[in-house]
Amino acid sequence: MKKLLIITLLTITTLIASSAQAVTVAVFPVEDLSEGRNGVNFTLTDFLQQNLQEKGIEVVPTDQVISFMSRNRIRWLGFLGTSHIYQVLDDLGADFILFGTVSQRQELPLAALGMVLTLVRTSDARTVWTEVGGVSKADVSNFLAIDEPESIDDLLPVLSQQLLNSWPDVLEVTGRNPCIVVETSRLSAQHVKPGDEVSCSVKIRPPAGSETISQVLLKIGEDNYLDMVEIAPNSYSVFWAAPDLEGSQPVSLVLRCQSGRSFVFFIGNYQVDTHSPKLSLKVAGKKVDNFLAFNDKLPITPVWQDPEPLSRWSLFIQNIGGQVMAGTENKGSLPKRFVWKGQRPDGRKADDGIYEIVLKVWDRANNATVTTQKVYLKSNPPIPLINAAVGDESLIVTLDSEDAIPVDYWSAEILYSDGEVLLQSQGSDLPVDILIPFPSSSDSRKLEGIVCMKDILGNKVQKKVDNLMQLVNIEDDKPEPPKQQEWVPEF
Amino acid sequence: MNFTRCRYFFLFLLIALLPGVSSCTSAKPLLEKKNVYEEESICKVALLPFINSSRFEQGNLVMQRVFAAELSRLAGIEISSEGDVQNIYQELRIFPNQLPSIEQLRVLGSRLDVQLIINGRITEMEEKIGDIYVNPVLALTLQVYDAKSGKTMWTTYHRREGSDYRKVMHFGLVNTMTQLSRITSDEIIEEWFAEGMKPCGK
Repeated sequence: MKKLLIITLLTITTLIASSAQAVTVAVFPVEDLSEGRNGVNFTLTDFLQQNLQEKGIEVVPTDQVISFMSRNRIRWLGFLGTSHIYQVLDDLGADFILFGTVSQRQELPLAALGMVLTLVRTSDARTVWTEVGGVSKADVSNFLAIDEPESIDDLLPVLSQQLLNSWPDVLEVTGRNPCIVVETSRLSAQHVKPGDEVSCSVKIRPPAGSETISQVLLKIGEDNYLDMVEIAPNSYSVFWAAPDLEGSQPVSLVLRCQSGRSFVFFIGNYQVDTHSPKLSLKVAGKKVDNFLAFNDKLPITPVWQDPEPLSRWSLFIQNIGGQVMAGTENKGSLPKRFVWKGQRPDGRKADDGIYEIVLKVWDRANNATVTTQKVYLKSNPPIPLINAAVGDESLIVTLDSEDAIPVDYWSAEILYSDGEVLLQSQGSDLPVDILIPFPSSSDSRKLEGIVCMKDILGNKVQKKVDNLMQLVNIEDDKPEPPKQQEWVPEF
Repeated sequence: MNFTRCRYFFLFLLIALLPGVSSCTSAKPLLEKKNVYEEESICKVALLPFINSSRFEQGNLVMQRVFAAELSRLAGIEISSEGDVQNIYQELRIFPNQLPSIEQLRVLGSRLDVQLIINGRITEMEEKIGDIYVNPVLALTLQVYDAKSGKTMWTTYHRREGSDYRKVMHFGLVNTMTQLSRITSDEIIEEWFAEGMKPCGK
């Protein structure tokens, strides 16, 4: 009787133990980080498979695992997404997945091996066992150095055994209820104007055995619910017009189940932007007659009144006739500064005249703003006007400029033809009379004049007159202006 | 006779105290609490891809895998699948070395149904080569975010060397980076729980 009882108990215990271990494990190829991000270690994979088989665990063949990875375009080792974990159960019939990562594997200076093993249950995608370990040649020392490991190959069984020692005695196949997985979600656009179309699409995966979804809703803001339309199995989509109210609108996916439970997943925010960007242009030129004038390079600086991120911008410079002289455009934020070199698209110098700078910017909601600024290009030098007249005791040379641009500086040098300087004069105001004393009558040398002028924009000119007296003669040849007819008081 | 006894006593005392004197295992992780975590206990967390600022190749991945394993093993905390985190990173167009914004953290938290999000940066990871032994060195910073609000809750910095664990002579030395990563992770997790983080169900 006693013997029978013992035999029965032993049989029951064996049955329980065997049923507990009657599990299938898919050993995924072990990731080998010592070989880089895409390293794989099939030796260790086979070693682990053998170890599990020795424990009486059924192992999914490697070729089936690799075929599964290929079918599902799994490009990484060491982990899977929840959807793929559920799929392993459906496709390969595996109750668990064993992931392995070789964290280090080196022969020099001392042989060392490190490993992380993780066992994941496929019914609820939960980690049920994990172990980390590292072993070096220096860690394993035996009496008289007998059978001490010399290489990684010797360390592999030591470390594997060390990690697998804590392998759970009983593996529970059934876990918690599998959860609903939102595989993908897309909210676009994230920045809109009032009335613009906003769309949201989601793909969900209700795993077998999870709750049945009765309604898929999109919650916009605090209390606005939209029914999502199923466009493909488990894929839902909805469109709506953005409200007039400026601000951020939170969007959440609401899944209502037949059991009455609801699951809420935050998808993101979208921003309603009712205002256009506010900015102006600052141009570094000299103010001349209500225009900003420049002669060579024109630095153009956008100045923000209320800075905000931009989606794109364009800047072009056109003449009065609307012909574009220069232009550039790009996506993203504005450069801090532009410089126009006063050139045409073909690289040649643009003609002097009035040009318009047009800057157009679009914010992320596509609100546009156009800012313009007129400028005056004057790259030609001033034209000096030199006249001479004979006075009582001196020669009067009158200097002036034909340009509208004021002169910043002028200088005049009167010298004899042999180089002797007779007079030097300079100033900033025009017109000006320069009085030159007459040379003595015995002096036959010619009087020369060198006139330099620079306008306020920096344009410079130098003009040489070989014979000043010739100017006088020219003046003499000219018909005299008609005398003033009316009576002028004389003082 | 008395002198001989005294000598033996002092010798015994020296041997007994030597491990305590020679080892430097008392260094604790530096923890900075920015916000008070009000949840009851932590059942599920997500680990963002760790950032590697060291020269140790794949050091971020090594530490991330080890830390996830230890968090699950020691504390019984469920770790969100790395694949799910990567999928959401791709959807939200977050680069692996980029930190998500607060809104993106909230999306991650909601989609993964986690209470906390942990991000790590490896600031130092190297194996110093000695005459006989290899001395691994590891320093890292971990940020713990509240998944609902996206706010930073805790920041932890920890630095360890394999030689910190020397007891006497070469005994106690940590010779591999993996083992040092594991011990460092354990110390950080223990510190977190000592400072008020509650494991699931408690």
